[in-house]
Amino acid sequence: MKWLRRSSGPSAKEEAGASSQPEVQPSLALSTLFRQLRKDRIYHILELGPAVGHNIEFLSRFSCRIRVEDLYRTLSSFDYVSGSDAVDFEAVFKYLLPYEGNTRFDILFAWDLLNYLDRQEFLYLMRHLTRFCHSGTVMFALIATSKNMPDRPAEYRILDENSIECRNVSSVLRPCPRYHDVDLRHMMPSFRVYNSYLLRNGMKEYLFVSN
Amino acid sequence: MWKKNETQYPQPEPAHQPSVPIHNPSPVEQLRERAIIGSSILIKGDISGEEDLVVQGQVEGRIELRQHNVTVGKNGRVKADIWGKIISVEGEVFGNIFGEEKIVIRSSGVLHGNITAPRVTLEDGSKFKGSIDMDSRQAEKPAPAVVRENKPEGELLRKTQVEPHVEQKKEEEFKKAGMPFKPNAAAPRT
Repeated sequence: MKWLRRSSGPSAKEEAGASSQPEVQPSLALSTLFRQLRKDRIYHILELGPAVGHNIEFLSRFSCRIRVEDLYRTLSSFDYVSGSDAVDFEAVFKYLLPYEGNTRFDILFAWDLLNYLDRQEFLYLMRHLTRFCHSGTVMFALIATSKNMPDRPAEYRILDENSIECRNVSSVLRPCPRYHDVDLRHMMPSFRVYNSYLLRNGMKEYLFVSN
Repeated sequence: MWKKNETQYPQPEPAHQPSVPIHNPSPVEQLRERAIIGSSILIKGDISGEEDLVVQGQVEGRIELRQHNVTVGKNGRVKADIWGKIISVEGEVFGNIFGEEKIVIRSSGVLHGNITAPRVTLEDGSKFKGSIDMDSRQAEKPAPAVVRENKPEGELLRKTQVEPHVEQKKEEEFKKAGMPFKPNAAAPRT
């Protein structure tokens, strides 16, 4: 079972010293997104990654409400389904991401999280999140295209409107699911690709827009 | 040389200069400026007052010091909603915090709850799960800790690429200029 196969959170050793040199990447997708943000309205943002001070500070220039989930860490420490192979993913995400029915997010930051979900998890997560999106909600995601990737999500920092910094928190590699556009269309039926760019580190950045 | 020696002479004090009384707060007064809840203290209930507060112990209930700073020290463990001017979290907080000016989660800080403040700083290493409301217009009035309904104001990203009417317009401009039209080409100079 995927929930149990995940390691139970990063060890102190991994947290302390496994990271390689941070890489700065130009991000055309984020640049496109930030150009569209207005300062006279409030944005509801869902951060599926961890709380990163740089990003919060950057986003503070806009009036916004940010919901921080750190979903990978939550999933890693989540084992109440042990003993059962039939996972009700719908219930799982309902439990982990409990929002009020009238909640609607404008922007979702998934970063590289989607690479760490199997197809079922991916599908059900998107199905769950779609309920809290309106037509035009934007999702930023990084999809790995290389053969291997670090065994846990990296930390991404928004440096400015045009660039991000990637800090790998683990030097251990694992095979990459390499989701293609066809897979993404299948697993995110209510989103369309607005634009996508290949980054130097083998990640493809996407801006998805909900229909 | 001469000038150097001159500077060694004591300068006369200017006459009739009004002396500004310097108030050196006594240790007792200094302590009064900020209250400290010591590491062995457990308080269950509401805390309010007119001075800054440092929590090194445990508080369960509610802390309301809207005009003063609240610091939850490294050993502090708070299960309460906190209202303050500048709130700094170095220990653990389970509850919602409302800062009139700023909220800082230090590298050792852990917060499970929602933040409402015009400015928020999360230091590297801090742990936070919840929502952050940085709408400065709402900061004075603590909002309930839920993500409120946000009526969509149209699509965030406008379709800028290959919109049919733009291409048509472009084609007309090319025809006017007597040039063959190429999609995605820059408009001709007329």
